Amino acid sequence: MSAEMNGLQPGGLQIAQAETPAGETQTEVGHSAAAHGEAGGLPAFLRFDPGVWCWTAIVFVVLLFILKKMAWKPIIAAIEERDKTIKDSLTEAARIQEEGKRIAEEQNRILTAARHEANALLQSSKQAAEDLRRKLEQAAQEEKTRIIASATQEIDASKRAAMAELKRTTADLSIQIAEKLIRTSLDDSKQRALVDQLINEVSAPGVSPSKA
Amino acid sequence: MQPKKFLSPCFALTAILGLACGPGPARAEENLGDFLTHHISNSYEWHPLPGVVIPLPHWHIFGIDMGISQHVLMMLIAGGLLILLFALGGRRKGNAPTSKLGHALEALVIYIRDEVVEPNLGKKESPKWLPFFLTIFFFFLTLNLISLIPGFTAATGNVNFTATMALIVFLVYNLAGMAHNGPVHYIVNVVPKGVPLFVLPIIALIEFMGLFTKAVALCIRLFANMTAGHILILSLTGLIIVFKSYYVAIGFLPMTLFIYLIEVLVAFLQAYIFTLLSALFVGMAIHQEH
Repeated sequence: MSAEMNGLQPGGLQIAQAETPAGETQTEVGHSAAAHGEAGGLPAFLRFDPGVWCWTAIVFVVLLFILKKMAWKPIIAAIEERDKTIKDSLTEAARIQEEGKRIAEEQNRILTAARHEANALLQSSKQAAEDLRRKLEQAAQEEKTRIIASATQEIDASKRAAMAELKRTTADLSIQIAEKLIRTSLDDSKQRALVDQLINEVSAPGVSPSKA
Repeated sequence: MQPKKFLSPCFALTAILGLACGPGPARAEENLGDFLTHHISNSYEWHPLPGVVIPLPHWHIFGIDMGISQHVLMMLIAGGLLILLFALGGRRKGNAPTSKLGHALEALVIYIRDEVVEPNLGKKESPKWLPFFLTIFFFFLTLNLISLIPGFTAATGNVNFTATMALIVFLVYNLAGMAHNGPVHYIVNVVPKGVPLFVLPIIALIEFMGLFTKAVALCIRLFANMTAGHILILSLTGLIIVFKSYYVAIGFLPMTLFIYLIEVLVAFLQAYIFTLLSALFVGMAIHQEH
């Protein structure tokens, strides 16, 4: 302690003699502080010091400006940016989750719809096939009937034509036979009458020759 | 605990502490009162290490002693330390700090923003005020913490320092209130509305006194807490002087250490309380309707 310091506190704290026991010493410290106050002049640590006032103000204000520029602004900007990033990420994550859910639902919906559609398609094609089969069957039936009918008609026509041909051929043959007969035995009138009768019988249809 | 293992560090610590805390029993005339006053008072000498005395300059400007006294030196050291810390911890990649120091500082900044400034000033006003309160908090915290390093002293335990800071806060909350609400409106609104007429004079007097007592309380709270803590540690250490023996420290050292650890808590607590109350007062001045 400098001489100056000792000068500042003239004997105010003359207590705590080394010989006194500890208990007494400590109580006397309290007394001495009070006594010191009464003795006039505050203790050194309570004295007004304008230099410290000025320096405190200067140091604080300068520190405020320096730290504001080099520390607070960048740190707070970084913190706010980070807060914003975190908040944005969270909302984005929630949005993506929602989107995922929506997409899954959409997928399910589409899948179900497709299955339904496939089923419907299968049903309708079965139906169509059945219809077609029935239609073809019917058509075939009709065709058969028609073919049978036309065949019967043709057979009839052929039969009729054959009958006519037969009749014509028979007549020709008969005439030829008759010609030959006439040529060989056409001598008398009686026979001539017989020939006529024969000719008539032959030319009259449905009359068998045996009746003559 | 094995006594031998425990005792030898105790002896070592006692010797170091005894040397660090003054001449001790070597000077017969030394007494506890002088010892205490010497260690909590401002002076123009700095004892960074036992036996090392650095004289500090007296400068007289306009009749004021503007010399770098011990506590002013502490302020300059704290300011330089803060600038250094934020220069080291301020490096960041993207928007995250690269160092552990940077993360630690950011945690404190976020705490002050979210728990102190925003609740008292509101989200809208707080960005404007953050630098002021952050500077108060970190400046006080650094001063409080370096005062616990042996060889350093507590500028926050100097009533001149706390009074200046309280005056700054006093000016800030009154000027902010006037700027925000208009000078007349601010003064009128200091007295709450709806007070019955017959108690109005008393209430008005109390409220106007309250404007000043708030600041005075800020000043005394910090000063008293820091000084009391240091006196407690020094008193326990000073028992060496009372008993004229280094060996008593063996008994008192654990107690001193305990108080010292409490002082670390107090260093944070008082910095926090000063900042919180300043923010509260500014908030009250700005948002008078609440």
